[in-house]
Amino acid sequence: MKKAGMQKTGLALAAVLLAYSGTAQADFDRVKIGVLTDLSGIYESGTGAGSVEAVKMAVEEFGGKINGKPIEVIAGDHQNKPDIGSSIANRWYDVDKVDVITEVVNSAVAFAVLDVTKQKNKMLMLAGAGSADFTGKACAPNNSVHWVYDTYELGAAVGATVSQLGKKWFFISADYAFGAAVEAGLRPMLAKNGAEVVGGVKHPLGTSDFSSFVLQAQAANPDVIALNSGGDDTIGALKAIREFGLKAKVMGFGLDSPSGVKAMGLQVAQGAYNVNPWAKRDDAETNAWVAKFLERRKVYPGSFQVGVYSAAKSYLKAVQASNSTDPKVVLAKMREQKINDVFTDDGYLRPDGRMVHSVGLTQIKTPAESKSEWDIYKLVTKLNGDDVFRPLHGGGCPDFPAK
Amino acid sequence: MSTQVLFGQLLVGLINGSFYALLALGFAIIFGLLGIINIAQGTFYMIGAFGGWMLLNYFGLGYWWGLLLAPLIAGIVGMALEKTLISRMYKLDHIYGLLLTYGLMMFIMGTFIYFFQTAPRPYPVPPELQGGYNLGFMFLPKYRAWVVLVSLTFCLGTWFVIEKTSVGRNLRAATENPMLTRAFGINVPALLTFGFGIGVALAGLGGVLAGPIYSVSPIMGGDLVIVVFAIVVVGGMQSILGAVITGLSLGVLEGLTKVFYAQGANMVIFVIMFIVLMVKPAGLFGQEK
Repeated sequence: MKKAGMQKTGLALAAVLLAYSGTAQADFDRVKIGVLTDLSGIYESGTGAGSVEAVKMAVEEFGGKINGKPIEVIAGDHQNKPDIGSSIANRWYDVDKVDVITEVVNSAVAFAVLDVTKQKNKMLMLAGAGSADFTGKACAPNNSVHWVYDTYELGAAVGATVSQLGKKWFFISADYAFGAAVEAGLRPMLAKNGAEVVGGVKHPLGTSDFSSFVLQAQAANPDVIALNSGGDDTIGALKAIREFGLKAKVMGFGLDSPSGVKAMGLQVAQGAYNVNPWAKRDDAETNAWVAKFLERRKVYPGSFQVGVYSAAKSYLKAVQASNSTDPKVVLAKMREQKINDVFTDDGYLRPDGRMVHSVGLTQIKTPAESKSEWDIYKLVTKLNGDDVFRPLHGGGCPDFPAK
Repeated sequence: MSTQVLFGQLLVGLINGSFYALLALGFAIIFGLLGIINIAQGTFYMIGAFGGWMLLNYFGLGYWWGLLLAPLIAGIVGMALEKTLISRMYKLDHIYGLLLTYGLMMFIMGTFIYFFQTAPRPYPVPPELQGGYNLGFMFLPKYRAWVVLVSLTFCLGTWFVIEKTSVGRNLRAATENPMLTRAFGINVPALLTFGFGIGVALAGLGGVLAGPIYSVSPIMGGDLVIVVFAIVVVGGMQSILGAVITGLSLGVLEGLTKVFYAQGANMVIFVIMFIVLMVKPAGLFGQEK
């Protein structure tokens, strides 16, 4: 009786040891990436199917395998609804055995997915989501990274352009949460850089005629007009600014979408500025990547799409090097690596999950400058990542209190 | 607020108002003559704009051709629809016409979205109308002045045709008393088809005029029709003159709202509609029946 018990214990011990050694050798039998994004709504063109394709392009660079184990990609549509986002995340982690969820445009959905990710101790790589809280009060240093941009960086980057663009600013803001958030982010940054907000107007979302607002801007005689809106509102405002012959420079947040700018035409958009999280280089590697994306998607990649590619590539490199899919292990490896790809050549991952990289102040080319269909932006200045992203300490993340 | 800025805003309001007037006019004609509440009016506005855009991009025909042909295209599409579908609604309650045209709007808009997506497409201002005039208190783009000119011309012209000519008399007679009009040897169904064609062609004209200012997109008429509907209600459903005057004045009022309380600009016309309906249910220029 006793002997049998001993045997059992021995067997169990052996099994545990075996299992343990198995872990050390190959932690996983495959790597599965879930691209959770907006596949059918307003953010689709900037993320959506293009982001899924970008992740697949990263996977292909590894030949679809890591250390002999296959890499799989699945895609899901969160429909911009937090409840749908979290239920997909639950299913992916539990049933489909997804190792990492990425993209997740729309911060409201991303917060919900982050909660699930923390509960299940998995990993989240945010590309399209913009709230600075992901590395602030909602930070999850062991489970998430924030790759492309955030609202703090947007404001700081615009603030950093004051010396080049001018000191008198006028706001034309969309009257909803996004417009208000951008304004709130901009004001202190502009003040910090010695600029003055000489006036502003809030217009209803989806306004078709901007002439009245543009005349108000003209009366205030600003150096720069900031269009704190997106999509068609930005297009409409810019068209009216051109039509009424305003001389002020224009800074637009909705101008980062290449297809949007192409639709309004360079005749209208020329000369307008925006800060783009993707400071695109003009080298062979970048151009080849863009050409490949264009061939597959027929549209030029946006910064969120290049960004999610970069995140996926860095993740896979770290999995390869560490031979593990354990979030803590992979994240540690990712922090060691320099990030150098088509998205950025000077990126590094901070312990709070923030990927710090330089961003670009870009200007839209004139029709004469533009050499081809998608030749739209020129890089005016590269803004140093450490200057525009919020410092590690004191941003609200409990793990990194103010010093 | 300086007087300069105020003048600028009044002028801009007048420009938008002339747009509204043109669209409201088409709407009022169709309701006045046919008794159809044509919710698809915004769709014909979109068809007009797309007509211009397609003529330019597929056939290389510029703005001036677009201005001539796109309203014709919209008018022909409209008359075909009137012949096949809308004419069946005349004997029924207004609500059926409204539902039918609402369905048509969804169908046509959906088809355009399927083929052209919702991203706005650029339609350039013709070279002859680029640039503008410096009025001292504001810079007036030539093209906007042109829009006012064309809209007012067509508004007055249409009013003149309907109120002062024999064609107009026949049209009005056909709606007042179709049986008797027919007894005079006048082809009433053809006249009504023609009337519908004129109404939607005006919307098509509005669309081509709007193309260079706003962008051409399948959803461009969707919101506008609601504003236009409100304007027509305020003016009095059948009143042609009412539609024009209300269109202009509400355009100005909306412009002023954008200065003093911009957030309310989308709402002010509906507030006015609400008040008018409370005080004078037939509209400012309408007659109680």
